[in-house]
Amino acid sequence: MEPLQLVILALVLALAIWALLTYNALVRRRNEIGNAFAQIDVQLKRRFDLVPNLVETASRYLQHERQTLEAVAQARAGAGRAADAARGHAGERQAMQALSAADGALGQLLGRLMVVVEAYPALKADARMAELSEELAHTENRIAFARQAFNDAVLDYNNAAQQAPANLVAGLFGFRAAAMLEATEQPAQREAPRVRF
Amino acid sequence: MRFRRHREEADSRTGALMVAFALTVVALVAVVNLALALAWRLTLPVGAGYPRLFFETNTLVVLMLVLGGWWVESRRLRQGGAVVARWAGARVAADDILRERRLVNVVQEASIAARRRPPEAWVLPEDDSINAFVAGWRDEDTVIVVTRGALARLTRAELQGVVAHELGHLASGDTHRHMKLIGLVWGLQMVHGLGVRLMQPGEDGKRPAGTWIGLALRVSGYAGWLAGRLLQAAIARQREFHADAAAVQFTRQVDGLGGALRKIAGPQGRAATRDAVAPDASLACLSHLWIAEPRHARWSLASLLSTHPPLAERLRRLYGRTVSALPAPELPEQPDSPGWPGRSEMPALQDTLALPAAPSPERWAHAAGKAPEEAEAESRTSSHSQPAWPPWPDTVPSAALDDEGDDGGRRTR
Repeated sequence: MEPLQLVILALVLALAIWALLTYNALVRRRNEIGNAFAQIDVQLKRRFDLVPNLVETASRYLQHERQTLEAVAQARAGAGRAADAARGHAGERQAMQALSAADGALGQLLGRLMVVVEAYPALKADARMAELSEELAHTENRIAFARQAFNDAVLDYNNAAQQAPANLVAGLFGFRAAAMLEATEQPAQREAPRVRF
Repeated sequence: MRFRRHREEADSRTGALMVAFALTVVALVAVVNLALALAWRLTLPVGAGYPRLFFETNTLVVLMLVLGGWWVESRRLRQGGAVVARWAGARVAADDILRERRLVNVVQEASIAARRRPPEAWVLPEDDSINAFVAGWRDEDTVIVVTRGALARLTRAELQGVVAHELGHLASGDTHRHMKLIGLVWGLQMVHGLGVRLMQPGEDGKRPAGTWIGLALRVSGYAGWLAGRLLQAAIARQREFHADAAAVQFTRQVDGLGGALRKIAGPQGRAATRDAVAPDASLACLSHLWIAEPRHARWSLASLLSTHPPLAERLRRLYGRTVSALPAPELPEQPDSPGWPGRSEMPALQDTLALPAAPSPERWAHAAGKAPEEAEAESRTSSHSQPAWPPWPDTVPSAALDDEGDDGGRRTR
């Protein structure tokens, strides 16, 4: 074989290997997104299971707050349905938005419930409530970090899939950009709560 | 803090330093050869050539010493995390103590953010200072050890920052890297040790035959060993900066780790560290994995050998400006209020909103039952322009419901 032919063959081989490595890297990152989404699902389920205990303990003291408690229970049900609907559609914009909305609503209501709890010293001093408060803080953090980890995974994948020259491989094999979970759906959610009397 | 940029900077500096370390070993081989050639010249009459395979033998011996020492030391350090933790006097975090339960929770949260398997949480019950370290060679047996002082003096967010910093070390393979470097430094020391042995006087007290060779080995060995230690310390410092940036990335806040470091730098933090039980020699090999070593407040010559950058510099990089130290009293044992979802801590309601201490239930019910329009009107007329409560969502947003749009048929209004 002539030297020129050898060089061309070597270049083609190098290109093929590069394409293979890039493809595998994209697959790995895409799977990471699925894994990160499953993590969120696990954490949401955990909160889902915790909420009835919380509402039951709080309801003994909070007869005046029936509205709050009912709203929490409804939001919980809505979040469950959204999570079921979103399973298997990790990274798709509509499913992510729906999940964000339902999850955000429940989180907001739980936060408001805990603000209400602050006003009832007897409830706050209850030992079971103290444990539940820590568990709730822990669960909320787990959900927040799971969402963050999901968004980080999506960022890594999008960076890998959209930067040149890997975007050639991505376009060829159908790796589309993934959607992140957005934290707030309505502008009102971005404002911190203020108590007015 | 631009954590990604800081991480990349630290990574590229680490790479350069690792290359320098490799070059040090190569240089050591060269210097030893040179020194031995010189010693040979001095020992033997001029005109006698070098023996056959002189340089090859020297190179082989040096490499055997360095790599052999590395292998021996690595074996010693490559223990499971639990072994190292027990060495240090720690015990597994207890489930029934609220503070330790909180530590376990915080470790799990930070592991989710770091996308890693959570290490087992251990506590150093005798240690009153604020400190923590990770240990363990394999993924399955890594542990994170936190002092009792850290559990008592740090808020939940600050504890989270410390734990996230340690997980940053784990995530970037610092435990493995440091063990390799320590092993190599040990190996470099062996050349020096051989030189010392060759220079020892014999039974009759006379200078041994290989004195000049011994001296050559001793000098070059010491130079190599010193260079190795300086480079290892420099690499350790870069990894500390990297782990600080990783902590900010995982927790997405600077106040967590920043608050903890400020407390370590403060008077109570420093006092507690002075009184802390000094780790023995076998634990000195772990010094690079502790979160802080507050002996060196500022850059100095002695600090070149320190495995941690000065706290002031770390705080400057975190906050982007100089910040003051904080006092670190023991906090009362009660759970932090969970506050707004997603944040691990909210200051007491009364402090932030300047409200009367305990509103009566009747007033709360009245306020909650108010229609949003009235609240809006009130807020407009008040002197503070604070927004009112966001209105109760009467239904979960419809996009989240399935096709029937059924929420049980009940609405709150």
